Amino acid sequence: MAEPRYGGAYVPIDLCTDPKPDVDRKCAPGCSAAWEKYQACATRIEEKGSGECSGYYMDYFKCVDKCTAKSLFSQLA
Amino acid sequence: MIRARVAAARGAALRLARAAQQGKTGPVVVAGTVVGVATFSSVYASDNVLAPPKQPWDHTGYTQAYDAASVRRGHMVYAQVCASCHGLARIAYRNMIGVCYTEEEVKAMAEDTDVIDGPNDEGEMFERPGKLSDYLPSPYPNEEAARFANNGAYPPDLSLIVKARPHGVDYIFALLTGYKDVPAGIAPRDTQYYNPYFPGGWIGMPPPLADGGVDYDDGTEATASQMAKDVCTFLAWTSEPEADERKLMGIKWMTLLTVMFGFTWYYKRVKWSVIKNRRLELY
Ligand code: HEC
Repeated sequence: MAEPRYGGAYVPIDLCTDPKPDVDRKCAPGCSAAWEKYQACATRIEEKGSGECSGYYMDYFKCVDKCTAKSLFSQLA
Repeated sequence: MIRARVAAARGAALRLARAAQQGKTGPVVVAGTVVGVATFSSVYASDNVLAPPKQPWDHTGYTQAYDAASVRRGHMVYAQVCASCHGLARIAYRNMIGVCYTEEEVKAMAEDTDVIDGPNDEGEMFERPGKLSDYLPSPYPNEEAARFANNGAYPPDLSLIVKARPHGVDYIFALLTGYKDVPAGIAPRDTQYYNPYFPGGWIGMPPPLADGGVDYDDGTEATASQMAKDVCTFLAWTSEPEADERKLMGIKWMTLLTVMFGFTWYYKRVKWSVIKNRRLELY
């Protein structure tokens, strides 16, 4: 729960942290192949000067999501 | 892939249609259905959207009921966050009694709102405190006002949203937790936010959930994922308040019918035993 703390100044401290970014980070190594493809696309379009990489981006997150969904809800109430 | 499937389906449809020209009318209906289904499902499987992952919800199984604590927290998220932009016009205060609040709690909640009622004996409209039979108030008087306040985007009423979207709660959960950095090669926009789960990728809703954004009265940590899960459970309930009852009825009837099937099976065996033990001789 966020509770205000009075230490001279009024500093709201946030004691709760969302587990999702952490789970996503742990899942990322398993999806490095997809991430590399996305990176390759990003370099490619940089050189070409046109195009976009949302397809590769979504492929990567599809992979991460599949892994995250396995453990995220077990960390929630 | 999808385009190929659509083409194949259209090919099949054409063949059927040609057969129909030779005097058969039935296949025309079939051909129409094939074309229809192929075209319709290709809309769902758009390439420009990220499919939401399936989450292990507490309420989606045939024998599972809504998690009442989560529905209660979800209403708090709706009331403290979403209600400033989204209506929930099909839910009345009385609907929440016994589901996630007691009657006293709901009464107090209703009395906090001002409702315009009337006309009275003199033909005037008047304001009165809300009561249990009132429906939840909507934030905007009409669609124009809603669009005007949201850069032209229309925040839909959430009463039936879980039923109104493919993938239901999984989609809403992914949408609420799925705002991401813009991918390479795509220009950022001013009044829209990148969210690959939203068809097209750009949504007019600013990320609504931030850690600690809601005060839960049961001490649960209000992290963004927690709030998203709770509000999804709540919206699943508003979309299908009858689900628990329906599943209970299902269990009762399936049990009863199974027992009855046992009896009929036995009864049939008994009745037929006489016939089955008889020898027929035809000559
Ligand atoms: C600042 C106002 C605002 C708040 C707060 C807000 N929304 Fe929205 N929401 C919008 C707008 C605007 C849209 C329409 C977006 C569009 O069509 O681009 C929208 C769209 C949606 C949609 C529909 C997406 C679709 O597929 O069409 C859902 C579901 C939704 N919001 C859920 C929520 C939930 C749940 C909350 C609370 C946690 C919430 N919103 C809070 C403004 C808001």
